[in-house]
Amino acid sequence: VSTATPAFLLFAVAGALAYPLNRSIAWRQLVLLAMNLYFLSTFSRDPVGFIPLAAFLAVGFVGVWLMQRGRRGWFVPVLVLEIALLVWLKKYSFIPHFGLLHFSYVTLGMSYICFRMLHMLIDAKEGSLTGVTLIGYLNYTLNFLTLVSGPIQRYEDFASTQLQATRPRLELADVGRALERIALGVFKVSLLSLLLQTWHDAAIARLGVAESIPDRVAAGIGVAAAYPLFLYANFSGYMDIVIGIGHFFRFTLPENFARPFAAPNFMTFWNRWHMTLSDFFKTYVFNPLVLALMQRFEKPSLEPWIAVCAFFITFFLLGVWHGQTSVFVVYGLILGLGVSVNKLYQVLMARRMGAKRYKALARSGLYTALCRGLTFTYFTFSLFFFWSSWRQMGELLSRVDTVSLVLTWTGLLLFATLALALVESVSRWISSWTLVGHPVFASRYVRTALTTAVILVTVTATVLMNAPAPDNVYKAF
Amino acid sequence: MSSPAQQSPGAARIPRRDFILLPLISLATVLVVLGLAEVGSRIIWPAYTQGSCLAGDDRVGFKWKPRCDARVKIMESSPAVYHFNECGFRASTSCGPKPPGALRIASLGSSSMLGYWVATEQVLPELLASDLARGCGREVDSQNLSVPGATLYNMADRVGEVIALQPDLVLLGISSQDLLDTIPDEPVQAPPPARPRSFGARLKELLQEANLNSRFVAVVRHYLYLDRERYIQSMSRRGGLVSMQRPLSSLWEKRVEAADRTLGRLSKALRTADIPLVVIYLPELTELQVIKAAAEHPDLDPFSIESAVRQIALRDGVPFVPSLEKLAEAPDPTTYFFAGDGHLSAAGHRRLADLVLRSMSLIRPSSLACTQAVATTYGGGTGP
Repeated sequence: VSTATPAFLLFAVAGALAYPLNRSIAWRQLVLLAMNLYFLSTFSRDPVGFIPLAAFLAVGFVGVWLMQRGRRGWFVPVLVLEIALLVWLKKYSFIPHFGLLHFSYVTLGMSYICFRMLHMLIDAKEGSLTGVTLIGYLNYTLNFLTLVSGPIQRYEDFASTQLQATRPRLELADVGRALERIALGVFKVSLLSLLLQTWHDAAIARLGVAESIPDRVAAGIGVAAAYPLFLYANFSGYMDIVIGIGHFFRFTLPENFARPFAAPNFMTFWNRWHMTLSDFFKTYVFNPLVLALMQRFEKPSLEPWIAVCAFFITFFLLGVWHGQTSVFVVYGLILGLGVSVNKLYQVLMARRMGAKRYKALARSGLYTALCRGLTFTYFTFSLFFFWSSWRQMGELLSRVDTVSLVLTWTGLLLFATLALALVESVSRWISSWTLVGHPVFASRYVRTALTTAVILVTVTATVLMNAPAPDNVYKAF
Repeated sequence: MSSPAQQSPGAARIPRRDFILLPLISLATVLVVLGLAEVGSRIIWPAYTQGSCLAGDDRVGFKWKPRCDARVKIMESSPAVYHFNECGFRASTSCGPKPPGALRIASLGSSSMLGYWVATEQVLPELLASDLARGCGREVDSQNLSVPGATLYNMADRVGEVIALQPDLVLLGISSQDLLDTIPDEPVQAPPPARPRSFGARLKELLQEANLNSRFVAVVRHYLYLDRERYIQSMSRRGGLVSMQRPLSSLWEKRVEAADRTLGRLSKALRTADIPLVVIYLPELTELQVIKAAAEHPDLDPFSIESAVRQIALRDGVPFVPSLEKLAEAPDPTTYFFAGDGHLSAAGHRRLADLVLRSMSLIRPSSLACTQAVATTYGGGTGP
C-alpha cells in the first residue's frame, strides 16, 4: 500500500475511527500494533520474507532491553551487529554475492527502523530512555506512518503522545488542519511531482536529440533543475500526508522540511531538508565526534578545524547511507565536501573580514541571493550521484560537449539565483498581506478556500492525467 | 465579520457560525474554480457553429439547405467550413450535369460520412475523388448527400436523388449507429406524462444542459476518452456496447434484418439504373477500442455488425470495404477520431479513403476502368 493512494487514506481513516473508541493505553497500543502489522503485511505475501526483518527487530529489542538493565558491556557488540545486519540485509555492493541471502525478503523501511533502534540503544545506554516495552518498541519502530521514509521521531516524543493516559481532544480545527495538510501532500505527490518527473524525463530525452549548443544548454538545465524540485515535491508531499494523518491519532510527528531552497548556504540547507535525518546525524555522529576530537586535541585554536573535519565525516556518512553502490560513496564525498568547505569558508571569511563585517555581508540581499543560487546549484550537482548510476551519468555526459556543460552550470546558477530571489520576494510580499491586522493566510476562511481549490485541482488533474503518482523516492533507502 | 478567524495552534475551538460559513466557502470556491476553468477552457479551446444549414424534412428526417455555408469548430477540431451546393449536397462543385469526360461519385451516409467537424477537402468522398482524378487523369467530382442522424432507411429513401445525379459510383457509408431506428415497429419509449417538475428533476436537467454545453466538460471528456479502458467503461454505462454482445440481442437481430431489406432495396434500384455501389463500413471508436482490448472483453464481439453488413452486401452482390481490422492496426485508434465527440477526424477519413482506393479493383464498370490502376498504386488489386 503506497502512502498517497486512496486505499492507504481509507486504511488510515478506519484506524483513526477505531483508535479513540476506548481511552485505555492498552487499546490504543493494540489498535496501533494491528495497523502497523497489517501495513507491514502488505509488503510481502510470503511469510518467510519477514524473517530477516523480524531478526533485525529482535536484535534491536534485545539490545535496548540489555541497556535498560545496565548491561553496557553489550553496547558495542549490539551496535556493530545491528549496523552489520543492515549492511548485509540491504545487500551493499561490496558484500560478496555468496554471502547474501538468496531469497526474496522485506527490506522496506529497514534504514529508518535502524535509525530508531540506534537512537533507542544509545539513549538507553546513557540512561535517558527507560520503560520501553515490547509493544511500545514495535509500535515505535514499525509505525505505519513513519516506517517507509520517516520522519525520524524520537522515542520520548512518541511516548509522550501515545503512552499517556490523558490526551488532548481532537477538535474540529485540528481535523481541518489535518485535512489541509493531507490535501497539500496529495497535491504535491500526485500532481506536482508527476509534472516535475515528466519535465525531467522530457529534458533527458531532449538532451539526447539536441543538436545546437543553446538546445543542449536548455535541456541540460532542465535535467539538472527538475530533479531537486521533483524530489522536494515527492518527499515533502509524502511527509505532509503522514503528518496530516498523524493529527487524527494525536501523533505530533516532527517536520522534515522547512523551505529548504530558501537556505542561504549549504550548511543551513541541511537544517531545512530531511531535517530529522540531519538531526539524527548531528546528535549521534557530529556532536560525539566533535566532543571526542576536542578531548583529544585540546587547543582552542583547533576548534574550527575540528568542526570542519566533523562536518565532512558526518555528511560523508549521511550521503553513503543513501545507497548500496559506489556512486553513493561519491555522493557522500560531495555532501561532505560541500558542508565542510562551506564551514571552512565561514571560518576564513570571519577571520579575514572580522565577524561583524562578515555578518553584515551575509545579510546583504545580493550576496544572499547569490549564495542561495549557489546552494541550489551545488545540491543539484550532488543529486546527479543520487538519481543516476555510473552508466546513466556516462550516457548523459556523452551527449554534451565541454562548452555546453560549462554553460549549463553557469546558466543554472544564474537561473536559480534569479528564480529563488523572485520566489523569496513574492513570498515575503504575500506574507505581508493582512486582514484586520492579521496575516491573510492565517485565516481559516482563506485556508478553507485554498484547500478546497487544491483538492479540486488535484482531483481533476489526477483523473485527466490518469497516471499513477510517482512512488516515494525515499522508500528505496 | 468581526475578526479574520485566525488559525493558531492555541485556538483549537472554532465558533459555531463557522459550521455554516466554512462549508459555504468551500462551495463558493468550487463554483469559482469551475467558473475559471470554464472561462479558461473557452479561451484555450474555442468552439463555434456559425450558420445553420440544417432543415427538417418529412420524408428523410433532415436535409441541408441549398447554397448554404456554415463555419464550425469543436474543441478537438480545426476550423472547418461546410459548403452546400444548389442541391443541398456537401460538395465543392455544382450538382448540375457533370462535364463531358468527368466522373462523379455520390455518397450516402450519416454524420460520419458527411465529415462532421472536418474540412470538405479532407472528407472521405472528396479525398477519394481527388485521388481518383490524379490516378485517372480525369475530372472527378463528389456529391455528398449525407445528413447527420440519417438511418439506413433514410439513406435508401434518397436513391431517386442519387440516380438523378447520374453518378459513376455510389459510396454508401454505414456504421453500427446507422442501423438504429431502422425497424418500423422498433419500440419507442413513450414520453412520461407531464407532471410538475421536482427540484431534483430540474437540477438534473440543469446538469445535463451544463454537461452538453460546458467547454470544460468537453475538455475533460476528451482527455478521459483518450484512455482506452475508461472509454470502454463509459460507453458500457451509456449502452454503447449492446451491438457487440455475444450473441446479438433480438432487437439487434431485427435491426440487421431491416438493414438487409433496406440495402436490398437500394442496391436493386441502383443496379436497375446501372450505377455501381460500394459499401464501406465506418468504424466507431468503441469498436476499435474493444478490438484493442479484446483480452479484457472476451464477452464482446466488436466485429458483429461489420460482419452482418458484409454478409448482406455479399448477398446483394455489392462490393464491401471492411475497415475495423485495418484501423485497429494503429497503436492508438483515437488518432482517427475526435475522442470526446466520437466522429472521425481528418486522419480517420484519410485512412478510410486509402481502404476504398485499394478496393477499386472490385468495381467493374467500363467508366471506372482507370481505377484498377489506382487500386494497384494503393497496394490493392484483390480487395482490401
